[in-house]
Amino acid sequence: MPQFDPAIPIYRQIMDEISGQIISGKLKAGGQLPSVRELAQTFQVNPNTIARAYRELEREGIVFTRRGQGTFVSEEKETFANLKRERAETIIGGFFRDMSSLGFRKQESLALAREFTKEEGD
Amino acid sequence: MEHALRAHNLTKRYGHTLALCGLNLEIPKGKIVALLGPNGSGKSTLLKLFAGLIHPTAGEALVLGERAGVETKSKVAYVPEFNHLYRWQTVDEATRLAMKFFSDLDYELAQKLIAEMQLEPGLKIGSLSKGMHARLKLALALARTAPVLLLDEPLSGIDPQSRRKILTALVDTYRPGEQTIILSTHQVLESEATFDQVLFLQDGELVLWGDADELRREHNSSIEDLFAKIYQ
Amino acid sequence: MYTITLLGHELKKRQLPIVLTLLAIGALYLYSFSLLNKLTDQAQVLVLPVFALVFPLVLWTLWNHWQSLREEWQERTTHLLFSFPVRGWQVLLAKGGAAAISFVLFTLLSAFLGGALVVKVFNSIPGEISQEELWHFLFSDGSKLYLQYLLMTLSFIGFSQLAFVLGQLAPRWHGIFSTGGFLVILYLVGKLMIWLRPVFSILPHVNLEFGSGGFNPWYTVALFLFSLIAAGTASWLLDHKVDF
Repeated sequence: MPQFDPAIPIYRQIMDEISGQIISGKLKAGGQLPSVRELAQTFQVNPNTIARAYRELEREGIVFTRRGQGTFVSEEKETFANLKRERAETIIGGFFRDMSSLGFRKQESLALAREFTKEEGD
Repeated sequence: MEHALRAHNLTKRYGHTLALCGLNLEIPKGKIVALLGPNGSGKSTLLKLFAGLIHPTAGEALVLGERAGVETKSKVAYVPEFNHLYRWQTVDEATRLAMKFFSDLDYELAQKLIAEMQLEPGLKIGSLSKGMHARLKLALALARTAPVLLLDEPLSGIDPQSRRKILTALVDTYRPGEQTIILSTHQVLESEATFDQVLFLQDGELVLWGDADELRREHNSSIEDLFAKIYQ
Repeated sequence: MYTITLLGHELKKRQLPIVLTLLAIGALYLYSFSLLNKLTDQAQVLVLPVFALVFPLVLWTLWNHWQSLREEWQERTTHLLFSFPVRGWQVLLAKGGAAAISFVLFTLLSAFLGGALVVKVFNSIPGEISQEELWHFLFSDGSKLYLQYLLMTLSFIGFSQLAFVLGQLAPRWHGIFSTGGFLVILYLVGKLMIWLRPVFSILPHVNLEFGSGGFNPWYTVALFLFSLIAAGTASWLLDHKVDF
């Protein structure tokens, strides 16, 4: 059970959690998501919040619902690529934000990152 | 759309103290609402008005469109902050008594919840600890299919384990869409993920009201921190 | 239906004091029977149970009924009781009914044992009345007097219900206001009775078969009717004015 950060909308955190599972392959394209009730119980979160996360995910095209059957991960290949790209952008954005708070400008941060990858022997 | 609960210019005066002054609010069906506020802000008064246990000085409290009173009591499960069960009864006797008055009480579900709350049907209510009382009261309320559930401080003054059990049972038995729950609480952090709307009361007035996640986004903070900011 | 459920609930709650009182009544008569052979004037044996039972039983019943109301407020079980979809009259009728039932049980037991004692005493006096005649008088006259006694007790219960509820409307010192209210109600009812006296004196009296006595039953009947009004008012106040 993940710990939620109460300062961030919880439905957003659930969306991120599910997207993360899709990217990591835990949830396969076309695979079924747990029911709202099941997820509410595992996360110990209000079912309305889970339902809202599912609705938002559906609006973004990441999942779709089949009437009476449940919610499934989208089978479109772009979805997966987009998710991955979005996640990468978030991570990079966070990197530059953190670096700038340390006083590095973008170019300096990039240079440092390059050096870092050399040291790692990439 | 018909609202689960509605207050219209709701005012309650006790002698010289004004507990609620001209409250207007509408709570949609199928939400879990946290009622937040310091002591004496009017939380218990508001819940009791909706439970039909006290009478408004002015204005009205509506439950599913009907004025709160004897007729609405079968649609409301009310749990006060203190022990309101008969001390001379056993857990099972209290269940059976409630069942005689509430046809929506599912005895088997009650037994299941009582077991999950680690209570014995044969225990005397007078011998229960505060945490056990809190768990029993909640089990009896959750065993009903009443569309409105009013919980007054279900988490206050009890051990963390009881609090966790209560929140788990609440989420597990909650019927989205059908049931409307208002819970007043001080334990905001622990229940952050439980409610989807928030009502902030202060001195008998509504100071802030909205969707929990929207408030988190707008104020960039947890409801707990927002609570601290409002009432500092 | 709810009234019956509430009545059952009340009786169950009070079962221990009820059983103990019945046992105490039995013990008192047993003691009186045992005194029969020791006393020279056997009629003396009647003094103890009659005095011990007539007045104390009324007070004991009133006290128990008052306690059953007071406990609900003190233990805050009113929040359970009035969260049920019941009306004030159902709660008060159940409480009054439980008091009435326990009172009838106490008094019927003591009336029966007392009757047996009376018959035994009179039996030992060589006399003009046969045992059958004695039982007949005890039954016919006794039941008329008993009804008075019962109505009077029920009336006090009704008045005490109104007094109790009035006390709850006070912002504080509920007990003092209740007790004061009870005295005021009794005073007002007394005044009313005096005022109604000319009416009652025209109405027919009830004659007793034993001897040539009789009594005016209308005071008790009126008292009972007033107490019904009082209890009805108390019920209305519970539904519309009292906050829990």
